[in-house]
Amino acid sequence: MSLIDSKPKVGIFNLSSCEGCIVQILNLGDKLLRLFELIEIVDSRVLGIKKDYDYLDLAIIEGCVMSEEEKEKLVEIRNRSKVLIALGDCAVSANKNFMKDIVNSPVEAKSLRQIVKVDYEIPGCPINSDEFYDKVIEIVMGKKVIDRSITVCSECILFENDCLLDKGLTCLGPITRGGCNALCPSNGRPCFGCRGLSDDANIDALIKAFEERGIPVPLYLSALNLIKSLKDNERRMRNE
Amino acid sequence: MSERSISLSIKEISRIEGHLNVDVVVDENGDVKAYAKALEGTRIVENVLVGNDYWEAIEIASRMCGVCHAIHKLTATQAMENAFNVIVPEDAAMFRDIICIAGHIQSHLTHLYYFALPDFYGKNNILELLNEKKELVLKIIKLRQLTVDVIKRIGGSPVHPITPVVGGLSKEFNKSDVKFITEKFREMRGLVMEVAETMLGLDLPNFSRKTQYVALRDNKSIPLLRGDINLLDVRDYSSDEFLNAIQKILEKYSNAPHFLLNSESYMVGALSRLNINYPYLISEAKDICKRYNIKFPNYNPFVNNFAQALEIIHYTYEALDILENLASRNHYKHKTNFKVKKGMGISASEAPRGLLIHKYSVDENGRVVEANIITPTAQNLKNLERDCVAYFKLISNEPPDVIEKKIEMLVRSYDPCISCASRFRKL
Repeated sequence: MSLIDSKPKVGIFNLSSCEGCIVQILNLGDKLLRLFELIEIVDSRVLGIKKDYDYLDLAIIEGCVMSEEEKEKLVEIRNRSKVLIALGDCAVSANKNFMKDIVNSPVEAKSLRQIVKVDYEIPGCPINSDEFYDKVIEIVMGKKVIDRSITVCSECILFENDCLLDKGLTCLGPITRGGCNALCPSNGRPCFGCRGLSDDANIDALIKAFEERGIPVPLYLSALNLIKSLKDNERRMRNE
Repeated sequence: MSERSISLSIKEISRIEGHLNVDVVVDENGDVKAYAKALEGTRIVENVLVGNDYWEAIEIASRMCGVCHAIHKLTATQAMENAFNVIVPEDAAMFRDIICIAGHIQSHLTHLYYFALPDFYGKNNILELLNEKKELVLKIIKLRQLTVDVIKRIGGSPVHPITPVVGGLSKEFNKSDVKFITEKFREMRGLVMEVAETMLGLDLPNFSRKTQYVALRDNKSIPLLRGDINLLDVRDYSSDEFLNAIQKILEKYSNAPHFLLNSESYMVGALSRLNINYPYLISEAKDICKRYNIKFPNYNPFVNNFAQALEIIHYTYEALDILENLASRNHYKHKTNFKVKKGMGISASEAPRGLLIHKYSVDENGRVVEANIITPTAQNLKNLERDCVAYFKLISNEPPDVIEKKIEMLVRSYDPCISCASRFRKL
């Protein structure tokens, strides 16, 4: 499908989130102005845009669903949108990385996919602005949208960073979907998997790598907790 | 309950961070009441923090808000350092100051120019302004982009910075980093005056209501990360004393708590910072105040916009001072080692929107057992309601659509951040 015949109508919405992924859109700077030449934003509370429209060519939704009202709002947006993008980890997987361990909570955070059909996902906490830019242009131009499926680890190797696993840290880079330019390991911090599991994630092999490197138990256990929430996220993403 | 008519109900006020409704109600006796209703889904971050490792709790705290992420991360980190008795190396602290300043300026730019400025030109958003004020808008975008570049370089990521960790920074920086950042701030210095003056030259509504003003004070600067908590003209508080002095009020209509100090509403933010610390504003900014006849202490809440514009200038110059200091050193100690131990840590800071307090108790394994976070917007909500009442009375003779627009402008002057404010409610 190509949306380029006329300027596609785009809405940017947010449910429960920190709005950091929308800030990442603002962080595109003058690239954002170039994007605005291709698309017409018709609805965005953050930008103060509210035009009349019957349908949207593209709905970009940040945040997870944490109330009945948000659920209704999401279904309503889906019903009037041709294409829907889940923006950021909250929308993609309900961000259980950071929302886990809510014991006996009456409020359950749900990913968009648990409620409606999602056409594309832009993962990350926060999203990578350039990936957002590229994907929106690909969608608008009717090109095939290619997921950046390589792992954080493989990107990190390209930067020739020192391996954090070898330093005894529980880096989840080897099992995490790439596309962030290995930001955390490049800044001396282990990856904690904010972009979700990679397609070919081999968790057993990573745990073996922890053991081989004699990684201390407290670190090891924290990592297992993180991996568990990544697996939960994965189920929510697939709506299983 | 007596019958009441909602005179004004503004839903999901646009161009603020998060979802907020404001109702102004006049009852049959002519009494006016205002209700600030934070609607953001309860994000219960405090509950989520408990049980997590200290470092993970800091990451979660940063996720409370995508606009004020830098200050949440730095404040949470400082609180943990306080709990573990860690003294951060001076160099690392200076780099963290730069991250804080860049985040502060970026937030002010977003609020003042993306959110507030269109009001003054009768526009709905900054894109509409692009047609007639293209040069200005491009400068604003450029300026904001420079702050993004700075946080990217030393924070690692422009949103939710990566490098601040307990003990200092996760990455070692060198002279070329300092040079890069200095160039960015010099470029900013070339733009801030003109951009700030666009704001300072505007006519603000003539409205004044004196309240209690609270901000950090250190008697030598306009501090962001360190200092005592000062109540203007009254007294200083330590963070603990202040936590004991404030009252949390859970209003049924709001997903965010409200706060009182000495049983009265109070205001935090740029206006309070300048009301308290004006003597330490840099002279370049003071000259502008004289030129535009802006005086502090000032009791007009709309002047919060001016105070933010002045801060953009002030902190750009302050960053250059810090960078000059860093440039005079040969290498930078980025981290100090520490042992995790059981304890309680507290940190008070100035978020772009005002006083922010993080307090944590951790067990001997570094797991969070208790967390308490007081955000600036939550502290401001009661004062915002009282300003809405007073301002409504002042303009009640004007047509309804004008009243609505003006009340919205007043709310926006507070630069509310509802994501931050509504993460509290105990389940």
